[in-house]
Amino acid sequence: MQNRSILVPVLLCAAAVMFFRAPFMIDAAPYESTMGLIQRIFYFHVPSAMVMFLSALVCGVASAVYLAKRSPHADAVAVSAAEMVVVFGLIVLVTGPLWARKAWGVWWQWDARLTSALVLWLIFVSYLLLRRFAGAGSEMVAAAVGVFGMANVPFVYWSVNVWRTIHPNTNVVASLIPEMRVPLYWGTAAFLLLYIALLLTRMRLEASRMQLEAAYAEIED
Amino acid sequence: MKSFGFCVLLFVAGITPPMLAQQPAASQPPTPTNEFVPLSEAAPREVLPATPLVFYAYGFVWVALLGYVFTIWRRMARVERDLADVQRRLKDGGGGR
Repeated sequence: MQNRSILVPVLLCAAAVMFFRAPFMIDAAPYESTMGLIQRIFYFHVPSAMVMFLSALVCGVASAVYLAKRSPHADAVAVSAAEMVVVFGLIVLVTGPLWARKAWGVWWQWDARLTSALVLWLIFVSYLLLRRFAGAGSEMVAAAVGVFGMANVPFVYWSVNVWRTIHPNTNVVASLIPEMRVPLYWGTAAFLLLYIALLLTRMRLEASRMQLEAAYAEIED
Repeated sequence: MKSFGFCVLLFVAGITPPMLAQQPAASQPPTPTNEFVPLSEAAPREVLPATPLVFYAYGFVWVALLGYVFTIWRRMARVERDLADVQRRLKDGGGGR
């Protein structure tokens, strides 16, 4: 427990240092030839999307473990990760249209990548709504939704390669020159550290909440 | 004579469709330009500056993350306050929610 209480501030400090350095690295990166300045949104948009996918996978695996073993710890991980999907997904769904407005001339396009990403986000919003309003026993239904949400991740990721879309495909990251790749990976690492710190903090909140419920039950007995 | 007629028929059949296809369509004269549109009246995306959009995008990232951290901190403070209250009541031997 002591290790965890030290780990979160250390992760947050490391993420803060990386986020402070990131704008200087992004500023030093060359402009993209057709999009120019607006392409700079890429350096925060893509890491947010990666963290969203990772969090959906964490939620799905934890939900599957909860369905199999009824472990309260797995449930705490699942609900914490689902909340992260919604937060980082919101960042993706807001920064994307701001980029698209300049690059494509429209805020939104109902193509495969954008629509599937929105559906993924809505699945995890429904997960949280179930947990909040569905009452006793909603953990089981929500866990099934979490597994379904995780299964949706590969479709969202590969949608740009399989269907016709105006969204850049997955080869873009692999084809980046080092001056563009380094700021992207730097931003991704910063988002990852922040994600782990937030997930651990959110899990601590869930543990405290379970402790509170147990204490209330003890009073009522 | 019969084979000559057949060759002529083949020639005509082979040459006629491409010739017909190459007939120029009844062309219409191009519409003359009545006015020049100045750049300030062009489509909005042509003149939309990128800087505010980049600023809004990065600003939103920070607002969303800091807002989320604030909600976690507030929820944590409330749960820990309730927990301390309930544990004090349990220690005092009291009941009721």
